[in-house]
Amino acid sequence: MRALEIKNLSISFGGLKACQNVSLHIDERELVGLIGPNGAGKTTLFNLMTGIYKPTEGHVSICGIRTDRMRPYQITNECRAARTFQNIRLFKDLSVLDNVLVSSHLKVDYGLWDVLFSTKKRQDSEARIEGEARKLLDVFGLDGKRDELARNLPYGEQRKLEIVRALCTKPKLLFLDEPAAGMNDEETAQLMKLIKFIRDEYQIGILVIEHDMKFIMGLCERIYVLDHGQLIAEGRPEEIKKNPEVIKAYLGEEAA
Amino acid sequence: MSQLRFWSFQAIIIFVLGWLASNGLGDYPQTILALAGINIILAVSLNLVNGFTGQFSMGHAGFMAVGAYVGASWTVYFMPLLGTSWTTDALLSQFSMLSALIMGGIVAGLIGILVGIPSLRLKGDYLAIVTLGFGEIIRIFILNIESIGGARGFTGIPRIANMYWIVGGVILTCIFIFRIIRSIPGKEFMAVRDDETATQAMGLSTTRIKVRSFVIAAFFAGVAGALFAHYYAYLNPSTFTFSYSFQVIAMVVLGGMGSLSGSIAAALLLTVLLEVLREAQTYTYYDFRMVLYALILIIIMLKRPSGLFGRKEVWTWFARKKESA
Amino acid sequence: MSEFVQHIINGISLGSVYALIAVGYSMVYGILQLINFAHGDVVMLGAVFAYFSAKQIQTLQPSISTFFLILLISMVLCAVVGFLIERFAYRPIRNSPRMNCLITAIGVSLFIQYFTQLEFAFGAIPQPFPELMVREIAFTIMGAPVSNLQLMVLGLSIFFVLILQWIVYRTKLGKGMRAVSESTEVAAMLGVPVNRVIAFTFIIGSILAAAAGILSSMMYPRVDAMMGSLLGLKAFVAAVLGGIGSLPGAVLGGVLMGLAESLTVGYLSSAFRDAIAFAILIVVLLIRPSGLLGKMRMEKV
Repeated sequence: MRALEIKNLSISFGGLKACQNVSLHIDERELVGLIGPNGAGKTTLFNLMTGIYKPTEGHVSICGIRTDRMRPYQITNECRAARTFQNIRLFKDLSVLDNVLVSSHLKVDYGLWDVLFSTKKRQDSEARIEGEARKLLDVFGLDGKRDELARNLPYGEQRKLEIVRALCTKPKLLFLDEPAAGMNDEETAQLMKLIKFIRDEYQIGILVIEHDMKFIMGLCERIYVLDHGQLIAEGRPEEIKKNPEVIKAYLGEEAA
Repeated sequence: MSQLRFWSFQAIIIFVLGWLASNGLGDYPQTILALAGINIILAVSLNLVNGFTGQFSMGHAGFMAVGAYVGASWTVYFMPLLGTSWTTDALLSQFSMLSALIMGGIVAGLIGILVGIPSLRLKGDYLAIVTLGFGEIIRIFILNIESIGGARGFTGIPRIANMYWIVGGVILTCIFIFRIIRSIPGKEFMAVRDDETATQAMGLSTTRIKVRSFVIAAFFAGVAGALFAHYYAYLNPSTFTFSYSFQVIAMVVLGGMGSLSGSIAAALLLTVLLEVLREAQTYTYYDFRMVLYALILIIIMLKRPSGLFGRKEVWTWFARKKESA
Repeated sequence: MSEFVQHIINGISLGSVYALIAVGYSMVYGILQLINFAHGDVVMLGAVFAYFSAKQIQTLQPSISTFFLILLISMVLCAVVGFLIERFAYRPIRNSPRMNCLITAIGVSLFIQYFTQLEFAFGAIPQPFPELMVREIAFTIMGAPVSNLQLMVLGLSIFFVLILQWIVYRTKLGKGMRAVSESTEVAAMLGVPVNRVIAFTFIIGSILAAAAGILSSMMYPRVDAMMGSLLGLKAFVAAVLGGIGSLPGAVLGGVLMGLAESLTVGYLSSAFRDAIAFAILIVVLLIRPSGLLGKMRMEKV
């Protein structure tokens, strides 16, 4: 059973065919990249996979469950798929720790009564959840800033926090939308190591959208290329680098 | 501090403050304080929805009305079935009061579910209008039920809400809502306020969270209503209009949407201000006070929309002073 | 049968008034995404200004020309009020979060209402509205009488709506309005005088509101400081029903609301006269919030 399976996915907005007949798949623990020129429909595809848009044709399955009719929160909860966003969508007015605690909701095993009367169960549970959250933050070097407001973090750390927050939902599949955007070479290299670590440590399948070619080529085992809503190539990084269709899409007819 | 010690401590505070309020004040100041207490409960509970969850509810007076009339019906119609001493005997009537509060709150909460589930799928302005509409419908509905007085009002309610109950209600409401906000499920409210799409992406049903905050707020509004009914011993639907909802909104906005201490301070301030202005009212036959209320609100929105404390509590302000000292 | 026709006629008259007010709501919501809570109160001010002017000019005899004179005075005064509200209450908060704008609008509305209630302004007691026109029956349809007032209401409403159509679709200003309602930023970048367009939108809306206020007070001869809130709310429901942001929708919604109210009072009970508006509001918002003629908007993620 594949972690992610998309068959003949299409969506149109009015007359615009944003995605046409896209089929792709990710196996468990695979690191896959999704690239393409701006406006190719990559984020639209993400939104289709995470339930924000409903496709006009085709279907999406995550871990064997059909998701194209599900709401976003159901997909995250039942299919264990989590994502980050192209324009960072942290909870800006919450602290770093709170951001992560919110997505730890699956670990909450106490109810309203426990909250109102501050029972031992609640105190112990919250201590435990907070402890786990802080350990995770620490892995990413963010524990020291746990009480800072998310909006006050430097850009690179905000992107890291978004990934940590997604991890707290205990996903089996992770969608990263341009995680390296705005990062310099050093930060990008660090991020590459981090993502490989996440895949190895937590045994997660990861789908990454990125424009940074070094990042994608160095990180991913397989790459899909999207252009004008259609899949134009698929394969290992070496193959993609040499694929004339891909070069044409990015650089125009003449370069190919 | 263990919970047992905590609650014993609270009980002592309630009794001390209650005693002071009952015996240390003249009759008139006491009624102002009682109304202030009821308004605090309303403001703090509304802040949960408007301030912390970021959903604009304009029908809070409707839930207060539900709690008031249900609580009053409970003591006037039901409790006497258990014997008349349940509303007259000093000790037994305490149980009547408690049960009336709980009943009022629960029914208000149920109405909250009924109103919330369809309404909270709407956003912003539309949600505001729909809650306004529901608030009015509740009031018109009550107006047309003869057995609870209709337009003439509901009389004969036993006066069993004394200052101890009101102080107790205020303190319990504040503690409970504070604990709800501080808990991990409580942070979900603020997450919804910040970014609904991200909240959904984290596996949380934003509609469920919004309804949750709405129902909790409705419960406490119902409790406030029941207290109101048993303090003034008279109810009239004309009290629970949009005007009252608006006054509570003003308190929440002035105090800071997202600050519990702000709501408490603003509720006290505005209740007292309104009463003080009643004295100064020589120009008008009707409400100079409401003109001022509206003006205050407009000025806050123009000059300092974050209100008195913004999203912070008053003690963070003190903590920061200590740090810089 | 003539009873039914009577209700229809009444409904259309009432609906025309609602339509005039609803158009104002739709226009402002279209360009600012703001529910102008104070709009209903400008309607009330229209009636109040007319009341005062009629009282001042004591030599007036009820006649068509009197009516138009008072109408003109009131429209000018309301235009000024509308301009002032936009300039001093709404413009400063134009870029604030929506909740703040809503609260400000409510604040302005209540301020106008309660200020008007003060003794030195208008007072809290409803007053009878002075006769501006001689009432007579113009003709009957299937036994139901149509008064000249009802004809005037219908005629004026049609006239105003047509003028508005012309402004929005045939003038530069109208083009500016349509541009701003698509996107304020882009319109500004393209050189549209956004502030002036918005001010003008409020002025137009207020002029129509004045007319609506006077017509309403002539039909139900009463003026009081609180009449605006109920009228405004019903007209707002009309705008939502028709599709807020859509002008034809506002007109359609207004007429439908008028008919609904008239038929409810005629066949159910007058106790439900106001409740029907809330009921329609809730049903529309829960089933089809974009209204009959409105468009759904999608959010970009």
